Amino acid sequence: MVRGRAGAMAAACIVLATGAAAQKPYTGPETEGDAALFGSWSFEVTSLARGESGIGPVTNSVSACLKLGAKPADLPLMAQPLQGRCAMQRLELKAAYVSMVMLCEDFERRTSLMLHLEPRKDGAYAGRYSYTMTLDDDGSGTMSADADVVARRTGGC
Amino acid sequence: MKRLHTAMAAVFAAAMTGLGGGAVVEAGSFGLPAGTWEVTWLEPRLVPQSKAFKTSFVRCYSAAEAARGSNPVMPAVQEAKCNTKLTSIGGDIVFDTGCGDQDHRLRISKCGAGYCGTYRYGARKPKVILESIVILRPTDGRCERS
Repeated sequence: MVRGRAGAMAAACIVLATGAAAQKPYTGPETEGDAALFGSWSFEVTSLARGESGIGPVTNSVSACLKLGAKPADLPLMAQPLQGRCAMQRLELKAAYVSMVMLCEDFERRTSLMLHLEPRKDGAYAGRYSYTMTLDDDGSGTMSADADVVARRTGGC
Repeated sequence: MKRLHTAMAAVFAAAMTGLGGGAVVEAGSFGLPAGTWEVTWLEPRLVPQSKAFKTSFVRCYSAAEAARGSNPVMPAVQEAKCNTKLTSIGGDIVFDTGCGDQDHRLRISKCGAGYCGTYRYGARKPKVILESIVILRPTDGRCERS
């Protein structure tokens, strides 16, 4: 029994050590996709926000240079800070779709990001972006946003 | 007493109809008490990067607003143009505010000395949804509005 407890404690120490190591910022994997689609992109994001006079839709734009092999930290809309254990399940820029799925977890928060865009007739890509964060610290609870996204390739970079 | 009976009847009726989300009680003697509240609002901001955005403000919730069951988190300018219905679901205080094609729901429950919960807002066009974390803490500040 004593040996069993000692073994369990040793295992717990290994788990803790592994957990501590996993708190480093996330860096990979790299962007995949069709080379012709890489370049300068603008993302127009309509989401809801609380302002002084009301809670309502707000549209913001962000530009990014998407290169083959770009890291998640270089991309717009990514969760910041990228911390804890993250698993990028998909990061693709293809003619048929643009897709990103990412999950992160650390001691205080769990984050999930899902972007899925499909081509429109005018050449732009449109779709949804879902972001959910669950906090376990003093402001515990879940917050989320489902946004409307239109992305356009604006040239090379 | 009559109000209590009405509330109990509503609970019973809701239980009998098998509402999964808990009993629904129409506004009566419950709700957010009048006073000065510090409201903490945690919302996901997406651009340029996705992160939690935290803001706090002080809200003087007057006795008249409490009696009316006004939404204490929605900016007053906006709330004046909307209709709010106060109910209780499963013991939580729920403010449902309708503004045209927009649906707002503040759902809070007792949390330490104050209240905490969520603010969910859905717009139909464009179809976007926001769910924020809301914390209301009582403050010592004076609330002079009637």
